[in-house]
Amino acid sequence: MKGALNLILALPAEASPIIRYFNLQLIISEPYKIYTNHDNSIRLVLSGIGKLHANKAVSNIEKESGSKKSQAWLNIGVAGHLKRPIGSMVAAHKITDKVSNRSWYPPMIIDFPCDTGSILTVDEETQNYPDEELVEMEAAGFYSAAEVFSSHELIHCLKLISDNSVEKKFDGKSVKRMIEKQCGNIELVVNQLLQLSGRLQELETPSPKLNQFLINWNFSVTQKYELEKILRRWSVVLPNKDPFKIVNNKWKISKDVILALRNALKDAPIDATSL
Amino acid sequence: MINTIYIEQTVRDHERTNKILKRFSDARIISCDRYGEVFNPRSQNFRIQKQNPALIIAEKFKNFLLPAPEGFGIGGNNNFYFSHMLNCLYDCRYCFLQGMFQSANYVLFVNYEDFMGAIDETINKLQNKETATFFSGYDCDSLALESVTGFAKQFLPFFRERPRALLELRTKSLNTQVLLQTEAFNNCIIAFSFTPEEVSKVTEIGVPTVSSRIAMMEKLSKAGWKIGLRLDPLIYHNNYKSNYKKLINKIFYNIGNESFHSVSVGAMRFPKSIYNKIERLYPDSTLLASALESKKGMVSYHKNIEKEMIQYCRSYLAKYLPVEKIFQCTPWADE
Repeated sequence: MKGALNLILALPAEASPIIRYFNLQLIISEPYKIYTNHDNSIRLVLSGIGKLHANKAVSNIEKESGSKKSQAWLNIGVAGHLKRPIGSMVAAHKITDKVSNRSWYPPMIIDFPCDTGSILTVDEETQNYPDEELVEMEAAGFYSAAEVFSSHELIHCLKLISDNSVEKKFDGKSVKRMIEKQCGNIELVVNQLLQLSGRLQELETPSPKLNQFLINWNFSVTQKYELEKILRRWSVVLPNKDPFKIVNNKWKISKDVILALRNALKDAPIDATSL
Repeated sequence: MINTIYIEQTVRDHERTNKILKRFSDARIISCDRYGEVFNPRSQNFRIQKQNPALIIAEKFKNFLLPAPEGFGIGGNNNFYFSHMLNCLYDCRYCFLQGMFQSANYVLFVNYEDFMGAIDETINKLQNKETATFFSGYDCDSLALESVTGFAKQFLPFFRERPRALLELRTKSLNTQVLLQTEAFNNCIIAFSFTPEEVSKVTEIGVPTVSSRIAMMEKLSKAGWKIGLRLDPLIYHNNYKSNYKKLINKIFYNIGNESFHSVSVGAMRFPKSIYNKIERLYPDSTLLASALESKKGMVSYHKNIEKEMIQYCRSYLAKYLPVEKIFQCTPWADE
């Protein structure tokens, strides 16, 4: 199953190489420009500069994408660093909001094709680089919004070094070039996140039998939830047995259907090798 | 094995931290203020993290010792557990830790001396001839990460000098070098937990085979260590009687009855909230999908199944050991 990934980028100069590389098309222009690929598995939102914009853009695209818990999130942008080479890419292993001093730790389960490092999110542009951290303006806003919607393993930041203590000036053109050069590496991360998201989506997918039951009986919301759970269990305990055949339209009341399924499950033989 | 290490700043220069860092010199090092920043946030996926857990090196400040849960005892009146680590190297589908913790990362508290201080304080409060039992394998496997933690190496000499304190190391590991290099002493039990081979193969991922663990128990018993056998959790399946019988026979065929300090049995069970969380993580697990029911805030096998399994195993164990040495982890199952 293919997962879903949302890319959050602040500026058109950062986004345009990605839009081209992944062949994304503009689908929404207001309030944020949102682009997507042919199967809607990758979406990109242009957030604008700063953590507040990044935060709002995440919430916006989450609504647009239908609130799937298994979707992945990736913030790509530029950052300054004391001595890292211009154009090099770093994945965030720690993100700290300078104002609140709160930190987030994206779990390191992705095989990143680059170094990982700490990121400091600031509210105003600065060229006073700390000793270790990358400095930028969106990551904390992005992460604090995305963690509300998805599991931490699915939320990551990639930053390209746009300036350092030697080269402090950069412009849209140089940023575009930098990102173009890293598109292959970005794709490696994108693919891993899509795969991870797909695996989680698979686990969340209700049994294909569910609809058959919903068409034939009226279930309350609570019953529907229980039915979903029972059918999911059914697919692992009795994968070769059709649950619909057990009830066989004999029962008229939804409560009886659930009871019949539950009892059949309870009596199912449990082979040690299938545990 | 471990490629990411989070370190609380206050223990960055701790002797044990330095040793670990030397061992994992290629690991990515990330500093944090408190381990909870990494370990506790909600919306972490234990199942994904379990594929490649990070190590968090931390300092514990309070609650070094906690009263052991009901049913955890092996004969003593004063039972405590302590956890120098949170989480386990192995991936057992029935393990309650996967529903208890938000994260699968290993947390290691390196301030062992503070645990020792708390144990001493507890011993000092005991009446004249009273003893206390200290269980170390509740939130982790006591020995699986010994080569990293050096836990047993530190605590064995400590307990040896305190005969009123009984230590239980609970494990599924073969990592017992430290025990084989140490002279056995009376107030320490090496407790191995087992499920039958057929069950272990599919539910205990990364755990050494049943045969190799029995061989290790034998080796330790011959070295003079007291052995504990933990059939907890008992797992219900077709032929469970013959599989448990086979397992018990194999164990007692290899290890002399006199080596056993105690045996405990308990059917698989979870607090409901923990079960719900684990089930969400592993909706594709047959073990968690079958034959269980929810009652009084607990999820367990149907009372009859639970009773039957416990009774069967207890009576079969009684062929080898006096009943005084057989303990039930779920005394309420008899009610």
